[in-house]
Amino acid sequence: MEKKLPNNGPEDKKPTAPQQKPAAKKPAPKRPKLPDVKDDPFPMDSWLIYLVSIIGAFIFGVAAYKEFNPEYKKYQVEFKRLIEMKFGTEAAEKVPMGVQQIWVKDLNRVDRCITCHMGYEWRGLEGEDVPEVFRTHPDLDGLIAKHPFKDYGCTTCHGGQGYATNMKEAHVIQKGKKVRWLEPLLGKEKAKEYKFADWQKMPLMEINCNTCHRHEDSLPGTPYINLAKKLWNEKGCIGCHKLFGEGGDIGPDLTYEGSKSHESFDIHAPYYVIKNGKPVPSGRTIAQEMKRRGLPLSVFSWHLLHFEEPRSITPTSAMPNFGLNEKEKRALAMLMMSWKRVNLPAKYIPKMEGRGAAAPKVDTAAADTTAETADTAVADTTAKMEETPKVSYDPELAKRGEELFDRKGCTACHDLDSRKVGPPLRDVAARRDHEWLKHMIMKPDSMILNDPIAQELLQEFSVPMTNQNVSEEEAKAIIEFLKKAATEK
Amino acid sequence: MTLKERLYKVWRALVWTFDPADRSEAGKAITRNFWLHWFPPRMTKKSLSWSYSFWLGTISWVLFVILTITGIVLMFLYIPSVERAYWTIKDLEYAVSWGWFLRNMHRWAAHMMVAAVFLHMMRVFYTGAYKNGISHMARREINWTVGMILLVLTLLLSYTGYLLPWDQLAYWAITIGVKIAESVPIIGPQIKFIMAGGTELGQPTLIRFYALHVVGLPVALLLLFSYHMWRIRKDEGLAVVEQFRLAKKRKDLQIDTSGDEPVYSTPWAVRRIVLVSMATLVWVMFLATFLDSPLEEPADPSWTPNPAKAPWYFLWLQELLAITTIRTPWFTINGGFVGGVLIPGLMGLAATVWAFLDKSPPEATGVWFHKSRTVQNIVFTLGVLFIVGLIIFAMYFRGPNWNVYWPWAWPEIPEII
Repeated sequence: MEKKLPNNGPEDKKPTAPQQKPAAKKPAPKRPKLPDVKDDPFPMDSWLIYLVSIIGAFIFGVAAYKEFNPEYKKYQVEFKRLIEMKFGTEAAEKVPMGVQQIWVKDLNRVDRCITCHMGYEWRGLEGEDVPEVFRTHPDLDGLIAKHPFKDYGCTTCHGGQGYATNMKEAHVIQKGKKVRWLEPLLGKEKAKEYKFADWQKMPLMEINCNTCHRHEDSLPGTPYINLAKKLWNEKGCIGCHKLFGEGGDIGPDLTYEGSKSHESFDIHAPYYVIKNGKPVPSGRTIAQEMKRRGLPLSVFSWHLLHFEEPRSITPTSAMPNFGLNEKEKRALAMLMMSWKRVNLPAKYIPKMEGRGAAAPKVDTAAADTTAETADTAVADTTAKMEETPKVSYDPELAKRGEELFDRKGCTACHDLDSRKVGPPLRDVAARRDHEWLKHMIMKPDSMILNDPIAQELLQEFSVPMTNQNVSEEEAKAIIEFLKKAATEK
Repeated sequence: MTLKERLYKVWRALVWTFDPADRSEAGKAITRNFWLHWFPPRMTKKSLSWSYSFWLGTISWVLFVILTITGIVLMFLYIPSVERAYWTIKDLEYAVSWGWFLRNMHRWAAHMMVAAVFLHMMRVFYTGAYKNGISHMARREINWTVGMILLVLTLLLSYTGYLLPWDQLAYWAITIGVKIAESVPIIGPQIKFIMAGGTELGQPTLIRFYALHVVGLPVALLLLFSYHMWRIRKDEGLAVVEQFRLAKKRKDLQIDTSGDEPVYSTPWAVRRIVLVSMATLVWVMFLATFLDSPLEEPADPSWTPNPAKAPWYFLWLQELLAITTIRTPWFTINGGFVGGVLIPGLMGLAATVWAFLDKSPPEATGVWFHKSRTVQNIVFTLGVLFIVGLIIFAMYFRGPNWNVYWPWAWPEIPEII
């Protein structure tokens, strides 16, 4: 700079001879060279500060725009306009603004769905002319009278993320960025994804109905779940699967099947097709098979494929193919998904009227009587049985045997006339002797290890027969039933 | 004097001036100001330049200030309980005014602070800034050691904060971290017990991590940071100043300092500090506005995401542990000691003591990549690449069951319905 450097202290501030040029021309000065306090070494810095301020103000503006223009705002404005049109200005003034929520303390749910779906309890918005998002909730006097909004919220039945205040995250729409929420919205869109013919009725919501109503035999308004429960009884599922401690050990315990982690379903395992009664790798993974069929990659799709042919997923599965139709598969998959571990406060537990498949507790009175009759029957017939030829049988014991044949889950693998997982059993009583049959029924596991015939059978059918905990008396009854079957050919 | 002039004089006497009229005022502006008094009245132009320090230390400090301020606000909104923690974060995201912005700022500033502190360490190494040159007073290797501890404190702060949202990401990342600690031979189980406050992660863990995160670690970091700054002053400034001294006292080296000269701290250094602080703040705001922080499903000890990964800055330890674990059908040699203790311990120790052992000449002080330090710079770079490489590999190429996948061939996980 042209000016001479000011010295320490204000008395030196008077400007000296301006002609004196700075150090550049002088030989090395004695004192270290000190710059002028006014001499800016970084002239760009001030401009950079202005620039950063402007950028900062702009970014803050964007952030403020995001904060003050949430997605729901436009819905609320639109709803207010709708109310003004329909019911006048006075009514419109009562429309609340900002985040609205139903807090159900007992169920630990905060549902902010009503931030957008504002018309849910306004009577008079039922018509088709009202946009669906604002329409009154159907059946306010029936279903909702029994399940008031304040006690159930929205997501208890509909699923979805109650906390969220934007559509993608509230509806758990898995397109693009993943929404990390485990309760999808069970609405029309979801039903369409699975190609439900009746998607308009939101059939998947029945899953959530049955989460509380699982112990009822049937429930109005849940056709799929009712069908599934009927199938559960008919097919004797309890023979192999446990529910609340009751049932067989062959298959997995299904009490909380719906709470199984989705991560535990390996959809990248090979998918099998059945050729000549045996599973052969299809060359596709389960995931590829789901994609091929246009199914979403999900646990629900896994259940659909599994119910169609269990051995296509698990080639060693002992579970038979029940020849279920499309509707039945869906119904059973929904039943599986509904069996969740929930911690219901007492007042939410539905009043139970019937028991059965859904309530696994066997009617104890009935169980006692059957056991009794079995005992007496055995006492009566054991002596006789030793001498009688193979074709004769005790009709009463055979009747009991037929019942056991069903209840113990034998039907899962055996048919009388056709080959299923195991061989047909129509004339087995003629083919094999009594002792062999008794042992095979009571402890097939040790027979497979020791008996050459059993080993040969395993070679042929590849699925080992499982131990169903049959007592000796029960085995005798079953043999009587098989003898009876042999005569009825 | 008019009233305005009088008031201005009072203001200047009480606080400081940004626009000193002369040298004395320029000096007083620093020494009389509480916040600035640990700065010298003059600094050299080089030590304030962008290209020498990249201002990484200042950036780290500004990030710490941002974290403290946003953190204090978050403390009013967060509840450190396993039942409530996750839902308070959900509320921040959806219901609290500016909650999303606050959380994003805190999260981004935290990640950036880990990166900035690490880069700061790299800068100091490459410039030989832990060396003392020809100064008789400087003990810069002490400050290097303090810096290493500050790096560890930064990592621990980030790690303890990682758990607080109590979602699946947090829960399992911390589980992995605790498992790494547990795999230390002999004392591992004790360390785990102390960290978790029990045998598994739960409320005792959360409250321990919370207390450390909001009080213990920040206070320790603040104290140590103050010492770090004080030492710079006692070490006679940044190492680049040594070049100035060498130029004067060792003419034989023919060091050219023509571009360097002392400048007044007020206003020039202060203005640059303001600029760096503002730029850092704006950058954090930018990230916070456009990139949302992740929040996964609520923490559930009964299902493990596959794979569960540690926070990114500990991923290299997780990877080291995995590759030093030898599995045969008959026995398994756990990589806990080699991967979890030996390798990272030796690396940290070597980096720390190197400052005391480096025998390169004084003219290598405060210069980028001085030719006398080429070998050690290469070794250091290999160490850094090793860590960064492992992190990138574990982050993008490790899939379910810790198997190797291409990032685009990651197997999909099914939805529920």
